[in-house]
Amino acid sequence: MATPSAAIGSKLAEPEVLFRSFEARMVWLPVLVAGTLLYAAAYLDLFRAVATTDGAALEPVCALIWAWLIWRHRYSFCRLDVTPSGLLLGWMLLAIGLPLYAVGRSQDFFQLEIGSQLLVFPGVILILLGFKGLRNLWFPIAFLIFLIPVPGSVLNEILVPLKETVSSIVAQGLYPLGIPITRDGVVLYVGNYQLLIADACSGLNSMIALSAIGVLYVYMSERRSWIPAAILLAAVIPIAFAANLVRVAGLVLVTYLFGDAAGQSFHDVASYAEIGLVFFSFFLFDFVLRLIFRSVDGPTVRAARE
Amino acid sequence: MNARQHGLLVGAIMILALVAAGLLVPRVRVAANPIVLDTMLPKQFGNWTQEAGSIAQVPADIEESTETSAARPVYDQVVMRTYRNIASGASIMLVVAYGRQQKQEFKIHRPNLCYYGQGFYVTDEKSSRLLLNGSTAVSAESFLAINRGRQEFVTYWIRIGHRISNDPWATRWFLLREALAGRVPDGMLVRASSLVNRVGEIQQSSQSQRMFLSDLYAALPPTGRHMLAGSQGDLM
Repeated sequence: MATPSAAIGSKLAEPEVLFRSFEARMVWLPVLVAGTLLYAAAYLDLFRAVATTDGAALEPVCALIWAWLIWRHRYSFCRLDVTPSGLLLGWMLLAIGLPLYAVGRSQDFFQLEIGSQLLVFPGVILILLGFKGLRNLWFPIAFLIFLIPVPGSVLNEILVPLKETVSSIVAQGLYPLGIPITRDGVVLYVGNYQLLIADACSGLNSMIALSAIGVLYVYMSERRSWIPAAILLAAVIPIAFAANLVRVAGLVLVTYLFGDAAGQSFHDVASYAEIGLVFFSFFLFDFVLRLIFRSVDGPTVRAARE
Repeated sequence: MNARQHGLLVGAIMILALVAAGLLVPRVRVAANPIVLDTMLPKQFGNWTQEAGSIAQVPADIEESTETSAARPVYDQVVMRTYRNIASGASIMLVVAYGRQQKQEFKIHRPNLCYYGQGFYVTDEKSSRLLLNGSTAVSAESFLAINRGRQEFVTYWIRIGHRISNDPWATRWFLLREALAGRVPDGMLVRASSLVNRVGEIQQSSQSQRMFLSDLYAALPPTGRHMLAGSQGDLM
């Protein structure tokens, strides 16, 4: 009896697995073709729509990660298991998910269109792979959440306080250092310059991006203890928030010291530097956590499991 | 049925959903031939007359950067004017912004967000019933926007399709129902505002803005009234 991870490794060449994979390919072919037709159009539209806003790379990157996750789990798709209970729940999910897709797609309602995957994908898995498949593939299913774009109405509810907090902390942090800075809502005044904290400066995109990568990283590192994993995940948002503060404060300082043009070129570079800073801090924090929790969650434990 | 047949069935039903999505795309635009706002809005009406050299106004976009996404501007027409009351001397800024297509993620921006995005504090947000020309009531919103050196009292409403939109979720629901019936509604922002210097002037500004909007409505032909406030029967 093969354990879920066994097929990934050495048992690949067994004739039975090869046969099963051939059979599975025939089963999955129509689903794969139809599913690609369904969602390729949706993602193309979505990428086009977000391409005009800042942080546009977020969506395609999450989509690529998801595709890679599916590839990594490809052998799970060979374990065909059609069961009555799986069929019942699976078809129910499709019966809700596909109409939502049709409505979302026809009305340019990306949240429904892309979000319908959260029902359609597990639905298909339940039909063809049963509850065992659902258990094996829970992570790629859950990761789909990161692909759903945040709706504009919700976005504004988050962005308004976030921008307010960012500008307030930056102003209060720089003023004691002798920088003549004041603020009006989301506008910072430093020297003769006026800086507007735009939506992109809120740091929301880097928060979502790092959350996605952080969740992926914790999943991949197969920790035995959930405590360091939970601490690491809890640190994701504060790290992204702090990195964004550094960026905005840097932008204010560069503008104040070297003028508007320098500030503008710093602005463009800083967005990339921020992503670097975010990931560096994240992995540094992870390293510290590993040192602290070495007894329960060290590399030795991982090596023993592999 | 075996796995292979289930696979075929799932694929077939997915294609069906794709076809259904294609069939559900709304094809009718409510406003096929909109009026030119600049000529529709009178330069003079009642006691109000348009002033040249108007005050710098807060644009109807949330961020200046929105202009770079010129591929799909939210507004098809925007009119910005300043009017003065001959009798009282009160000065009112008017912004009327029109979009032919209102969709879920592509709608007229709420002015409180526009002011906020331009660095104003938005306070004192209120909704009230505004009677236009003594006959039509719209649900209007008002707020006070403050930044250094400028305090502006704002009264506005947004029309989407035939109804006044004051609740974002109700608006989404309405847009969805309209769209599934094959219609893409148009939308309009009507925004009056004036600068206030003292807290005591807010009440007075509010009154003259309400009077201004009512007078403007009264001065329009039926089609213009419809453009501004939707159909009478469906309001409130």
